[in-house]
Amino acid sequence: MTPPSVLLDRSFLLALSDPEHPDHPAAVATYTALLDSYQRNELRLRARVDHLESADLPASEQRRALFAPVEAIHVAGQHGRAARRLELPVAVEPDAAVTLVLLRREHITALATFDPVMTAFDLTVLPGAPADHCSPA
Amino acid sequence: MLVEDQLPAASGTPAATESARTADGRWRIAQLIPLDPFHIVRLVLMIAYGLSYVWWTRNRGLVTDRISVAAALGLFLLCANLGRPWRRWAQLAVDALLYCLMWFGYEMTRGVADRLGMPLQVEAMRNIDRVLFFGIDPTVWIQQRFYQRGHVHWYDQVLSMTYYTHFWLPIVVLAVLWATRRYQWKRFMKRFATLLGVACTMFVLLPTAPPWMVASTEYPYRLIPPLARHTGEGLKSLGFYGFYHDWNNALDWANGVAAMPSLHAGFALFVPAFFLPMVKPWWGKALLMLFPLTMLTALVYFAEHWVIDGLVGWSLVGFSFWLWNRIERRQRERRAHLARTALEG
Repeated sequence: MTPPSVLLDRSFLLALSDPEHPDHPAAVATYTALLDSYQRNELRLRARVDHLESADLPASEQRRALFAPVEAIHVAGQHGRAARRLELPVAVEPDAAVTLVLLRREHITALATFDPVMTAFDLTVLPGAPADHCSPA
Repeated sequence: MLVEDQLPAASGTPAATESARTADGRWRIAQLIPLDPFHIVRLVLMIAYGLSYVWWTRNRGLVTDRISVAAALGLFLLCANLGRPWRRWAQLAVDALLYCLMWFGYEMTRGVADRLGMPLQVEAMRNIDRVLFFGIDPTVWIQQRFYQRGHVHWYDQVLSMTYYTHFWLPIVVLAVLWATRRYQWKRFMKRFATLLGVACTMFVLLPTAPPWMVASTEYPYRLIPPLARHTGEGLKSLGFYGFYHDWNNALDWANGVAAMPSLHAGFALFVPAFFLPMVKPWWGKALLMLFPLTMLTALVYFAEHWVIDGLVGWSLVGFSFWLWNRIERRQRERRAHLARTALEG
C-alpha cells in the first residue's frame, strides 16, 4: 500500500530551519512526530522543489541532512498556469495557489504549514492534527 | 464562525456554491480545483489501448518480437502520459531505458550461457523431485492420471490459461503501476529486476534440462517415460490460435535449458505477493495465493518444469522481497537519523 503523503510547505520549512522563528518549536515537534511515522513507513514526506531550494533556507549541507527524508515535487509551467486560472472564494497568494494545485494533482490532503489561509480548505493541517489523518497519494 | 470569515475574501471572483463546503464550513479542494484537462483523455486512451491489446492478442497473436514489444509499450506510455509536464517525460525516458536494459540483460544470458559452456544438469533436478515425492516422478505421475491425448479437459484449459499469464500479467501490472503509481512502480521494479538478475545468473551457471527434454525421444537422455508437452492445447481450444501460434514460434529462439529456477513460478508468486498487503480479508489472501499454486501445478503437468525449479523460483521471490524491504527500511532509518541530527545541531 502506498503510504499517505504530507506536503511540507514553505512556511513550515522556514520555521523548521530557523531556530529564531517564533513557530520553530511547534515545527520541530511536528517534524519529529512525522519523522517517527516516516521511519515506520506510515507516511511519505514531500515538498515543492522550489521551496526546498529556496535561498531563505540554511546552507545546502545542513539542508540536505534536515530534509533527507523529503521527496521533491517539481513544479511545472502547467501548474503555475492552472494556479493563475483558479477562482477561489478566499484570497490566496499566487505561491499558495500553486501549492493547492499540486495538492490536488498529487492527491495529497495533509499539509504541514503555518499559513492560516490553508485552514479554509478541507485539508488536514499540521501542526495540530495527528499525523495519521493523511491521504494516500 | 466559519474559518474563512477570519480570512480576506477574494476580490472579483464568483461566489463558490454551498456544495463546495464541508460540514464544518471549509472549502472542498476537489470541487474548487480541477484535475488537469488531459486527465480524462489519458483515461479514455488507456482503456481503448487495453481493449485493443486484448483484441489483438486474441486474433493476431501475442506481441513477441523486440521492436513490436517496444512499440506497444511506447504507445501505452504515450497514452498514459499525454499532457504531463516535460520533466515527467524525461523521468519516463530514464525509466524506460532502465527497463529496456533489464530485459536486454535477460536476453543476453542466453549467449553467455552458450559461451561459458557450463555442464548441463540432466539428472540432478529429477533426483531432487524424486526425493521430495518419495521416489515418484511428479510429472510422470500427474500426466498418467490426468492427461488424455486428443481430449482437452476443463482443467487443461484452466492450467493452460494460467501458464500463459506469464507472458502478459507482470508486464500489464508494471505498465499500470508505471502509468498510475510511480512510487509503487519503483518498488515493483527493484524487486522484479533482482529476481530476474539472480535467475539469469542461475541460467548461466546452472543450465538445466526440463522434464519434457529428458523424456523426449529426440534427445539422448530418456530418463523418464515419454511425456506430452501439451501446454498450448487448452489455450487453442479456447480460440487463442494467434497466441498459441506465436508461442510455438517463440520456442524456437527460447533458451531450452533455462529450467532452474522457474520464472513462470517466480512471476506467478511475485505479482500476488506484491499486492498481498493491500488485501485485507484472509480469504482474499488465500485466493490470491492459489494462483502460484495453480501455476506450479501447470508447469509440472505440462512437463515444462521440475517441482524443485518452481520452489527455487518462489525462494528467489522471497529473497528479493526480503532484500529490498531491508534496504528500504535502512534507507528510511538513515534519512530520519540525518534529519534528527540536523534538528539537534
